[in-house]
Amino acid sequence: MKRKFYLCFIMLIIFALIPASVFAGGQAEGTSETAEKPQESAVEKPLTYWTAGGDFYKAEKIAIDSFNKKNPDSPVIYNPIPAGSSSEMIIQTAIATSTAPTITANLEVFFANFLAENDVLVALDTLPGFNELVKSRSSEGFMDSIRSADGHIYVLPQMWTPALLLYDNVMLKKAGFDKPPVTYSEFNEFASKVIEMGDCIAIDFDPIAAWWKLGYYWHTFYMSAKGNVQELSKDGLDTKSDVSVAFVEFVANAFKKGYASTDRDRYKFNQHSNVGCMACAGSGAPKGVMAMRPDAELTLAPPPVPDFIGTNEGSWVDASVKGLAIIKNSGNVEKAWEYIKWRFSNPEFDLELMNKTSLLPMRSDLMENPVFKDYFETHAYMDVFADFVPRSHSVLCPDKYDIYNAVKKALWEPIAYQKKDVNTALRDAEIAVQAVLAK
Amino acid sequence: MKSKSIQDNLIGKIVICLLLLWSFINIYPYFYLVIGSLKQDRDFYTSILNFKVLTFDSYEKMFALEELHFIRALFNSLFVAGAVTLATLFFSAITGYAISKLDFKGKSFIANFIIFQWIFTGTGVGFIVVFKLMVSLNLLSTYTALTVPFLMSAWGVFLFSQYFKTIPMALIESARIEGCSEFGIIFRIMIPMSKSVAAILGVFTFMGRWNDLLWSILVIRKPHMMTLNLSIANFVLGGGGRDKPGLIFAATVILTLPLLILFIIYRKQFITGISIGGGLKL
Amino acid sequence: MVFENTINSLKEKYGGYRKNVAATGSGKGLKKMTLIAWIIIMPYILWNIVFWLYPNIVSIPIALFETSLISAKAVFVGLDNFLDFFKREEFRMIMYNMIRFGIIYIPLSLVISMMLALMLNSVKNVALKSFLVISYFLPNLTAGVAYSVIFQKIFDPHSFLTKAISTITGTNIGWFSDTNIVLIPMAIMIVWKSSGYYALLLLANISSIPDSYHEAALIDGAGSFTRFWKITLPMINPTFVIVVIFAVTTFFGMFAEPLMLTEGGGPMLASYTFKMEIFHQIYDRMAVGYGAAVSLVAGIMSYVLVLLIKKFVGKEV
Repeated sequence: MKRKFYLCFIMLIIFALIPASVFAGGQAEGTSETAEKPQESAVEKPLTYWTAGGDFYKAEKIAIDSFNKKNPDSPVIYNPIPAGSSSEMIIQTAIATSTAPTITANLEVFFANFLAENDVLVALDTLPGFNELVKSRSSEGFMDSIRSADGHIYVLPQMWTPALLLYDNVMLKKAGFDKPPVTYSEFNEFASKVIEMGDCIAIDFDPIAAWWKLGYYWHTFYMSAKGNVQELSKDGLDTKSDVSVAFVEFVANAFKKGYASTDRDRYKFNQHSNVGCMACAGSGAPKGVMAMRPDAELTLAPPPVPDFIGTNEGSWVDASVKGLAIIKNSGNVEKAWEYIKWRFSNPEFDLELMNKTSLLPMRSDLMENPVFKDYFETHAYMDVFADFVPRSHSVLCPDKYDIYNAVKKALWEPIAYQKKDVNTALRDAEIAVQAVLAK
Repeated sequence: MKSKSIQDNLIGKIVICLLLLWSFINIYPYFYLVIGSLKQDRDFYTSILNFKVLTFDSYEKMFALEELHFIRALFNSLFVAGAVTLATLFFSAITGYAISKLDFKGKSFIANFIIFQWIFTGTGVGFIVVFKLMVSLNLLSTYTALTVPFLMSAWGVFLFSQYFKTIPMALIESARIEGCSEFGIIFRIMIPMSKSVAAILGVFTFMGRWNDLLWSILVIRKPHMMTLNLSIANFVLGGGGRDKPGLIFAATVILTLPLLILFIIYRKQFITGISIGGGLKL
Repeated sequence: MVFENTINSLKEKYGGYRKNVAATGSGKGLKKMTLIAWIIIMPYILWNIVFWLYPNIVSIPIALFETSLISAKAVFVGLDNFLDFFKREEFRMIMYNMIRFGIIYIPLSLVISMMLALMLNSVKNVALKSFLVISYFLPNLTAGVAYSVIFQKIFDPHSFLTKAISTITGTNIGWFSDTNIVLIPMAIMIVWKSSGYYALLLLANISSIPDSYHEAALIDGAGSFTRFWKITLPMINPTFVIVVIFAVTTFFGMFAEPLMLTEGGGPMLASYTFKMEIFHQIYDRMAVGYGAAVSLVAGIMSYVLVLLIKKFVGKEV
């Protein structure tokens, strides 16, 4: 009797599963039918666009609204995708269920290239007028660092923000420096003066830095010494180079001598005046610091370099890059491209972006173009970042995420907590990175 | 004898002091939250008792946004959370009754399965399958998509069945003898007796829907269908939310306030639930 | 003991506390009862087949593939995802953290909530009791992210609390940056959030124990501890089991705290959790198959724990 009952129950489940799986199986036809029917009667399928959230949205809204005013017949339908660590998942889910919009923003270059590998994005450089658009923004120099492995460009960066070091002028003066230190030994001299001030640290290296932050630290310090290096693109770091070894030694020394601290909540550059310099400052950072400490005086500088390099004049730094892409099977590619061309050939919208978000657009004529002149006169510190835009690039490697997590585990945290010496850490990091690349 | 009553009195006072201390610990972070939401970013880390710097700046910034669709979003959130809560309470109570008080074939299997379902987290990607189902039924941006996948809760069934187990069987027997139907027993005896469990389950279900972000992001594509949480996450906090503590706190206050109001309105059920539990003394 | 007899006689008098179920289900009544019962639970079962069983069963095979949501190529790897997870340091640290967290959190939350419930039960003043009940439930009204932000400020090295403790102990404490103590503030946060709620669950049941049981025991001369041990605890066993299950499975749901406070489980994985690993795999690495495998491991492990609790703590669940 009992067994019979269980059998019945299992049968019931199976019967219920059949219609359910039919639902899911018939999904592909189902959407195309139901989704297109109402729209056939309308003039054309609308162009949909997911913008980035928050302040980005406010900037982008101005551009889209004025585009829609010009083209009232076929407006762009837009709404923000929530930013944060889940937006990649949302985009993927939408693509997997063919409910994605035509244009989606807020893509990191390496994520866009991941999508491109799976053949869901339109190669932008195959579209008509791409080269002219790039030229009109005088941004040919940026293309190499966003090119994917197959040589095409899939993402058009909206923002291009270099990372620099942000020094506290009061601390610099107290330590007897009238400009930021240039070499590691100069920095160590500055740092030793800073920690004598009591409960202060010289640099706020994050002992448990998230992968992207670790990437900034490494690349900014590395490029500052080596200049524009494309060979980094393969594995994201170059543990054997003398510059890398010097950088790791510098970090290890900082944590050992107390120039940097593992107590990350105690020393916060934008809250307390007990930190000599912020190790990774994007263009929003000065504004953020001024909001909390209105009377702070700041100096921006590229990172110090190893003593054997000697100067960080004209050095390169790492950049944070996010952009938009067109999704292949969503239709409307021409219309989407038309909008993007219009949006990116109007410098006023780049100005809008800077006004709303304090982030910089991808163009090398920021300082020369008269459109932006007012902005840089009224906004302190931004000109320094703008100066670095042409001398920065985002290091590109497909396994960026895995590589930096591996480096964090094998090298960064053990160095910060003084569990490993520099050579062991570098060797372990090399092994861990090779393991990631081998997969 | 007299000294004993004095001692009891003293213990009673100590007990009340301890209880009040715990309630202070529970309320303090809310105080902190409200004060924080009234501060500008630059004053954010100043002393909590510094009342001079308080402004409504963060709230003004938030409500200045017309994209927030505040009224509509509030209605959507209330409707979705309310409907799901009522359905969950109803189905949990009847299923819990069947499992704890009726004897039938397959009972232990079902009871064990429900515990399994409550505890077992699944694959973590099952929601994508449900999402595909919603897409194939063309239900994106509808109330159906926001409510139907959450109508029942294994945890609720488990909670009700555990509570019903403590209600004497004799009560049900006597009701049956008087000719009351099973549904009559559920609605006239069992549910009135389990108001505290219903209140707890109701508040949690309501909160679960109210605070939900991931699912609403997936299924809502039209601005007027957005829930309050989604709307605030999209238009107010956006990407750079972490640098704006004042705004985060203000958003948290706005999101918590309706819950708090609802909870205070239904506090009676909460309390009577507990004292009706005491009424079980027979 | 004498008063156990009294209790037994009371139990008989007030109806089969547990046993009478069998009496109703005999002969002809059983078939009818089965029908009614199945009608009652049918909506639940149907709903669950569509929205729980089906999605979960369909997604289980994903754990055997190396795939993302959109990749055209899904590589079948068999049990490699599981085996790889068991080999990694993350898995060892999660297990280690689970034990460390459990040792702090489970006794602390159980003792505090039980004490709160017993003390609340002795409060006679209705207004005071309502105030206390409401205030104890408050922590549950805030989402995890928000209360993490609040506690970040409370455990800040410049906060009053940390300064006071630093002055007493003579060392600087970085709550979230020391591998050995990072789980303590997290446990305290979760105790704050959950104890009031556990206490209310227990209170609902404690106050339902007939006074006559306690009176009978008092007449027999039982002390307050004996009464707690012999009457209160057995009588509230079903609810107590729920609370123990909640407390033990808390670790499996821990997510907002490490995400917000320690950059996703640092320092050196000292606050890494299952949910963090699932999030990391599915959302950050886009390895849906691997994430599903980890999620299945966590699910099975928590279910086994619950079965053990039921066996050793629960009398009848």
